[in-house]
Amino acid sequence: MDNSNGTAFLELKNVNKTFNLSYGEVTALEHVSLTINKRELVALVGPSGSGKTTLLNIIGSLDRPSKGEVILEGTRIDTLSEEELVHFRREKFSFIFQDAKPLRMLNVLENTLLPFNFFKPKNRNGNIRNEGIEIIKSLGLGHRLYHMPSQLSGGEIQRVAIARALITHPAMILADEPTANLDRDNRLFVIETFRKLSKEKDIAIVLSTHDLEIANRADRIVHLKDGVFLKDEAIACPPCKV
Amino acid sequence: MKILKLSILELMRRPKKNMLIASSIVIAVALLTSLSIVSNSANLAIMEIIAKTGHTLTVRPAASSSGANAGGKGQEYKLTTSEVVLGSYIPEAAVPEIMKNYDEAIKAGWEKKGGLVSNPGVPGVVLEPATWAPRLFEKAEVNGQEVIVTGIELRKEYFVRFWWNLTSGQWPADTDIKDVNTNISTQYKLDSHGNVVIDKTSYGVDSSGRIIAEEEKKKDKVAPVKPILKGWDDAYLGGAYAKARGLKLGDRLAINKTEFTVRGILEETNSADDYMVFIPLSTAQSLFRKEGLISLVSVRAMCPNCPVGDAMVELNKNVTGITAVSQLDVAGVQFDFFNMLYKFLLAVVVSTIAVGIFSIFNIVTGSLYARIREIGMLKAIGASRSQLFRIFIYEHFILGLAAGIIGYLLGLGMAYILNTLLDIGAVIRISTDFLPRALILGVVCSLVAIIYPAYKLSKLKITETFRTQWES
Repeated sequence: MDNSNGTAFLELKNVNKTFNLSYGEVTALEHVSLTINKRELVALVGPSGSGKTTLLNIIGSLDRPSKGEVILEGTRIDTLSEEELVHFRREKFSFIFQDAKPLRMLNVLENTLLPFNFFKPKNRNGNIRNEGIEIIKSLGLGHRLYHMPSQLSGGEIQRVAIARALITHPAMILADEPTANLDRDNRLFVIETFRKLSKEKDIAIVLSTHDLEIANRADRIVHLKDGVFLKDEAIACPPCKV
Repeated sequence: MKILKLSILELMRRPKKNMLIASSIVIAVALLTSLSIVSNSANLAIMEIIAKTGHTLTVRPAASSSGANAGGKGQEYKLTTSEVVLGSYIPEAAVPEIMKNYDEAIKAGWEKKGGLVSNPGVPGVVLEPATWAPRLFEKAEVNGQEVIVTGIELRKEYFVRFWWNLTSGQWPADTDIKDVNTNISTQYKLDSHGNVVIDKTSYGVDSSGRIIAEEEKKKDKVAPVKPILKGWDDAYLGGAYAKARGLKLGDRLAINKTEFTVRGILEETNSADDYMVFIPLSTAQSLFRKEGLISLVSVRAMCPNCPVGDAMVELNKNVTGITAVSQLDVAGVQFDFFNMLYKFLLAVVVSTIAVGIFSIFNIVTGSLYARIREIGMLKAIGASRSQLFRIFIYEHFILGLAAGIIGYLLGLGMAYILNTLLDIGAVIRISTDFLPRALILGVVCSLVAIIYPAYKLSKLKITETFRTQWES
């Protein structure tokens, strides 16, 4: 199941995840093994309840597997303490959500720089604010720098979320249904931006989606059903397949 | 600092909800502040009264209706010795009998205490004698308007009411505390057994000023009593009365068609005195045809530990037709009453605060849980549990502080209303001493309500907050 075509960044080994609910135990993931490489754009595809979100949570160290191992650049991260994971996540991961929800009282630039309210950027030369402005401009929001979220469209809000994800220079971006509420133009803009970022900035990006048009623009498609790994499909020429 | 900025922005984002939360705290702080100010003002006033008149006894006719308002409705402070007795009188001839009983009661009181408390075991020690100041109250027409005219013996009156000051004019030249003391020579001494004895041979001036003076004349020991006010037509005015009527020094007054001259205006004392016109006792007696009669006598015991309470009990028991009231007892009863009232109201306020905190807790909990998605997002982008907790704490610290300030200001206003509603009649003393307490109360109320939900939310696992978000 290892379809790696680059440097191995993250590895899941025989991961199981079960939830103890009031009506009994529910298995969300069963014997999932997966390798994600740097510069790779991976799409998790499957029907609702197939375990996409659970898998994203485990990859992003937001949740721990019931069984199995999660190894990031040679370090097993599923056994780290919550305190260690906070620092680990700040350095390695960025998250983009379906309902991006920037803070309503901050403007576009302030929302982009929001993570640095909680930790200092490491190994940075130059002005963080200027970098934020550059990122926003590269996402086509140069004219919206000081606009408030209430003044933005859904597509623009999602771009703000991408800018916020990029400002921390993550090694991996995890996006759960990032295009779900967007029109086609904006969906394509988001996926093309992801493709570009993964290649230009050496970022591994994992996104979940129901949309095959979006999934077919990824480097790989991982198919899930009922928590079970069905198929790991490499796309030879992602843009050509569309 | 950045987290503080986020907290401030968050507060500004939800002004209505935050105002709702703050309003409960504002009410609680305002209630407690107003209660504290009123209670403190009342207690201070009582303490002042106790300090001033603690060892003062008032003897008045038994059937008198005391406490009549002398004209300043709503402004008269009730805990004073300035009782007004109208229509009931004590014959001056009865005063020696009252004094005799008083002296015996004081002596018995000292004996009960085992000797002179102020100077124990020092034979021959001389105590200051009591001063007896008679008053005659009558309603009269002054410049065509009705007012209480009070006949007094000024030197004695001034000695009993030593807090009196003139804002203009001057006392008669012979009005001096030392002169008064030397003219009154009742002495208390210890006998060889250490008991108090009264030396009758040096018995001096009494309140009537006549009987004893005549005896003294016969004995040729004490000079005749000087006229108490030099001019029979001298008048001294209460400060509030003079202000209200626009009267000043040297003005002429017509009391029942008799002309008087204003010789002095008294500083206001928040008592019935502020609304009275004072004229010489003998003048008042002849003007109102009450020769030989007085309305009451104020007695100032001249020692801090004098058993005035004992004297009061004995006088009430042994002398018919009079009622003796110890101001210390009156003030003490009022003091106890205010303390009881304060405790009762404090219980009401504490209950209000408890209910307030509970309602704040509910609003805050709802408000915080509405932000659960935002909390998940903040955690995901790198906010630690303690940083999230700090955001909530800062928000509610600022909210509590603002509510404390507003509550304090509101409480100042409410103090005046409470003072009027409860008919306490104290002079409200605004003090910033209560500001720190108001701020602390505001912050504590706000934080108590937030701590538990903030702790629970900041402790939530990131996936628990995300589940709500990602499954929406």
